[in-house]
Amino acid sequence: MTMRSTFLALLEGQAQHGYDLKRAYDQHFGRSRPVAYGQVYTALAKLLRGGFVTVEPGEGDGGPDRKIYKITEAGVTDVQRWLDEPEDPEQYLQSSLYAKVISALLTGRSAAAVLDVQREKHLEAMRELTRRKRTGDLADRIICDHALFHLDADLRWLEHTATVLHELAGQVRR
Amino acid sequence: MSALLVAEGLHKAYGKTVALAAADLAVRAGEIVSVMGPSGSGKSTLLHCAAGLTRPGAGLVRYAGQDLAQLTDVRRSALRRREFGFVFQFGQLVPELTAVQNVALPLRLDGVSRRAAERRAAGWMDRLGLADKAAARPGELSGGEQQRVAVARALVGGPKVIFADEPTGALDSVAGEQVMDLLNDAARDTGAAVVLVTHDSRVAAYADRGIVVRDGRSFDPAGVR
Amino acid sequence: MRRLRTELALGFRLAFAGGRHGAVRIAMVASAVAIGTAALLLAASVPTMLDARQSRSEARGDNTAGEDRPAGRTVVVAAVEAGWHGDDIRGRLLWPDAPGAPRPPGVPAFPGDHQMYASPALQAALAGPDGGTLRRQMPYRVVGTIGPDGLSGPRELAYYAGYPRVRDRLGQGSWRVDRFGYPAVEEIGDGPYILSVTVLVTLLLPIVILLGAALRFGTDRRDRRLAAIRLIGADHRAVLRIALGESLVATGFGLAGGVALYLSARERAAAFDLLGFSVYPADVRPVPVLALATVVGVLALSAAMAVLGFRGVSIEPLGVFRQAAHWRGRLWWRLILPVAGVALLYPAILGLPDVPEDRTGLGVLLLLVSLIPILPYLVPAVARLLPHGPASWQLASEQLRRNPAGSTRAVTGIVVAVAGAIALQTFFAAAANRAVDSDDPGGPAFLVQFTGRQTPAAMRHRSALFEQVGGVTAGTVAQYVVYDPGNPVPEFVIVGDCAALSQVAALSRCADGDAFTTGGPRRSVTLDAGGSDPAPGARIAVPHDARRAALIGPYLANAGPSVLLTPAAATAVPPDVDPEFVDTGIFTSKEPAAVAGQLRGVAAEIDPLALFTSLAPETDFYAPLGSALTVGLALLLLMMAVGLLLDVAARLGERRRVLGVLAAIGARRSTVVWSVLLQAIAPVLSGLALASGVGAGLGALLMRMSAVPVRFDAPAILGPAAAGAGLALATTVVVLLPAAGWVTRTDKLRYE
Ligand SMILES: Nc1ncnc2c1ncn2[C@@H]1O[C@H](COP(=O)(O)OP(=O)(O)OP(=O)(O)O)[C@@H](O)[C@H]1O
Ligand SMILES: [Mg+2]
Repeated sequence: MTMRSTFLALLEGQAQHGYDLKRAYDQHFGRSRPVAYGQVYTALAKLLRGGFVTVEPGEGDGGPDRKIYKITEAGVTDVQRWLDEPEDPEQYLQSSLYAKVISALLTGRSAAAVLDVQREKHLEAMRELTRRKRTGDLADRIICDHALFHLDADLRWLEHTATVLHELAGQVRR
Repeated sequence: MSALLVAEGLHKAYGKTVALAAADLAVRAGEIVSVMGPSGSGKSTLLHCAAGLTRPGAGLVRYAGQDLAQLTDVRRSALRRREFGFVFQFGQLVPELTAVQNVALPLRLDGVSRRAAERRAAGWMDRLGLADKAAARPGELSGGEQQRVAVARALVGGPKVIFADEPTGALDSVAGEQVMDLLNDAARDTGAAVVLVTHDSRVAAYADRGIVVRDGRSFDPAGVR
Repeated sequence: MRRLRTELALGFRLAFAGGRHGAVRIAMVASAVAIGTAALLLAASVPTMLDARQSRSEARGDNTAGEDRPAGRTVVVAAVEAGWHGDDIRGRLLWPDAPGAPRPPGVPAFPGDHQMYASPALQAALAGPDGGTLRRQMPYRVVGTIGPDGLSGPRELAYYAGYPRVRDRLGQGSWRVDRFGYPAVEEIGDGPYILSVTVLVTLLLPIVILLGAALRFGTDRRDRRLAAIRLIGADHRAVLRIALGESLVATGFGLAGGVALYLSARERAAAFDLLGFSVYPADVRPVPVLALATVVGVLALSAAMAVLGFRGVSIEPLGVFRQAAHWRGRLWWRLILPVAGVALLYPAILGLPDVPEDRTGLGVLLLLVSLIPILPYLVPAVARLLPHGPASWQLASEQLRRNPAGSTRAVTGIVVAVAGAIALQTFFAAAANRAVDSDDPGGPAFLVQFTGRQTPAAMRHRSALFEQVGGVTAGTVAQYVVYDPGNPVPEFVIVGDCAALSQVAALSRCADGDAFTTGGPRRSVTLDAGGSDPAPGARIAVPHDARRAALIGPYLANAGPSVLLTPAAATAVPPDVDPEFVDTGIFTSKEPAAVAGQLRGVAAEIDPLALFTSLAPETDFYAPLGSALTVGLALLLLMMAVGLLLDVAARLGERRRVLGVLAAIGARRSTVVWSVLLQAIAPVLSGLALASGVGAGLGALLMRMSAVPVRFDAPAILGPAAAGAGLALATTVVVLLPAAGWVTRTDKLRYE
């Protein structure tokens, strides 16, 4: 899900060859684990079938890897929908959130809005947990507290990221 | 239900520093609203403007239909005694007075007899688990106890809105939670609304909803989507 | 109403629970108020004191203004105006004509022959050191004490002595009265009243300054407290009332203390004697209206100062905001007071006659008070003029320029006090100098005048009696009045031997039988027949060979053209004509004061009714004032020092954060301490320079007005200035040294 959306976001930034797409993905998201060519082409094929991208023949020798992929209107809308939808507050969601932030920056959208939406989702969850905790017994409280502390940590990270967005944007666009 | 307290288009600058650029806040009766945002974003300034403690450069603050800027100091002071309550981070208790006298102070300033005022104050002290600290002076209380005294004092006049600015800011998580539990319960029981400025999302989680202030602009994250 | 009560009560509470700071504050305000209240109550009591004194003086008044009373139930009295160590002694010799004659007040019975009723102070003086010398002036046995209703005050020296021979001296020193209680012809005048009120009011100025300093002490703490109370719903006026309630506590203590101080001063009132003015404790009662005005005034003053303390400060729910009032160093309005003062003093400066005293007094007061606004202008100007120095001076000078009023406030009182003290001290020093060298070094120091005729031998004997006192020469002459109606200047025929005559006139040579004229040759003179009205008497011829001579000494001033005769030339003077006086002029090579007591004794032994005149001042009239001033100045400076102490401490507290930050960024402790020290020293030094100038000018003016030759006495100027400077420095150092430690500690910063 995330990889597919990030490809779309990368293509929204710039129409490009599958090979370049892989390079760009590796640069922004695949630091520790580069994506395989096969995955890139499978994903692109799916997007092509869904109508989110189109293919233009490249100039040169016309080999399959010389095709240029370009995002469609539907693709742009899909990226937007993806960014607008907050992740479910669960543990270890930084990878997908990170992907969203970078994608927003790459596509010139508001990364802060991404974070805000996520913040609110988190807070909503925390409010719910606090309500449950205040009516529940001790066991409930302890369980709720565990979740609350984790959500709190996520929120802090969100908050912190929000303050460095500007700097991050500079790096991503370089 | 229409809002009890409405602040619209607030703008406030200190010299060249713009503390509030375009801030709104609406508080309905009985609800708890958290105000979050980075340091220096203007949260406290927004709270001060909404409570009539600071006059905004532009914009309007209406409480129960009256424009706070139009009120005289005497009327605003009466509002603070009767309709508002305040819990700040620290330094709000009068060190010369005992805890119960501190709590009774708003009533005394309002002309309530000493006996009646201190009886009501003692009732709130009880509720906040401070029954045995009535005769102590603020200097002899722990930070958490001091904040609970402050909460009791904010509640003693039967306020409609309690303005709390980092009420747990100087406390550890256990003491902070205790203060928040008490404030939350008391506010819900008495039907007082609370404007809760905080950095701490676990504190903000006591609220029914929250707004965010960034660079002097406020927005409601729930409304963005 | 209840709210008002609550707010005042809250103020009371805050005052009592203020901890160490609050206690110091209360103590300071209370003592300032106490001193002020006591001073004002004393001032309010002055009219009562004067009235009581006046009515007692009148009750014993025996001055019939020259009217003759027929004998009957009457008393013959004679006045002996004696003196002791510069104080007058009121002596009366009396003898009743009939058993039921009226008695003077305070005397239970007529004293018998050579018995006397003496005032307690006189009895004490007789019993005291050198009492024997005094006793020669009144060789009567003390048989009782004059009661308080017969005395003008407890320290008055007075006696009533029984002396039958006064009946022989009627019209020649004694007279008859049918009652006591004749209105006093000479009033005591407003002199003592103006003096005491001036002293008390002058005292009030520094008290107000001290009160201000005390009220300012610890205000920032209180203001923060009030801000916290504002937050929970006190409005501006409530905060003011709370502060008023707080200041009322201290003022209340002060009022109580002031009344106590007043009562204890009243208790001791009998022990004081200033310029012959002493009072009974019972007479020290404030005029009710004035007492009420004092209480109300003190309360109002303290309340006003508490309210004024909020000037430029606004206590808001979120904190205390000080309007960093932009310093407007305008000069013109500061010059209004001194210009007005100089304008009022202008005639006195020019030495014009008949300048009203209150005009001059007001001018002096204005000039002194004008120092208060000038100082805050002067100090930053000095700070600007001085060259840039080390970092410590830069910090100090910056602070002085930015907040001159705050920096100079505390020293203002010292400067005004020192200027006033310098003015008076220079004046007293000059006056004392004059007292030592008498008006006329060539003339006699004393003149004793007797009535009744004397043979030349008796006159020589009389001189010899006085010369028994060591270091004294005396000459006795008989003085007859010439009948010359229409001539306002009395002319005399003076008879005496060559030695005596040469003491009253400059004679080229003299032998018995010589005659001299002054003011032109004349053939004959007609003597006055004597009695109360002038009448022509014997006519005597002036010898042809009378030579020209010129009168000297005290005669010069009051005699017209006169005739001097040696005994052999005076045979023409009929023996049955009484001289106006027989005068003994007494010269001394010693301090006049040292021999005055003995000479008075000799004179009294010759004739109790002798008129004894000190021509050279026996004592320095201003000396008691001078020492009173020294004591007053010491007290004043002490009060100022306390004020300064508080101010420096308070200012240090305010600047603590800045100083701490300075220390934190690595300023050396000495730099920080020096900057505070310099900041204190600069106003003191410039203020004292100003004070010395103004004080010396006023001193010169006083000398001019009192016809004392203008001369400056270095200790008189430097003394108060040095005392002021020393005090200011000592106080500052006392505050600074212990503070140097914590002021530069950075670990406290966190809590500020
Ligand atoms: N009295 C004042 N004078 C000058 N500037 C002020 C004043 N009060 C606030 N500011 C400035 O206005 C801005 C907003 O301040 P405010 O106290 O509202 O921030 P905040 O969001 O409450 O921050 P924090 O979370 O740190 O309390 C800041 O840049 C601050 O420096
Ligand atoms: Mg804040």
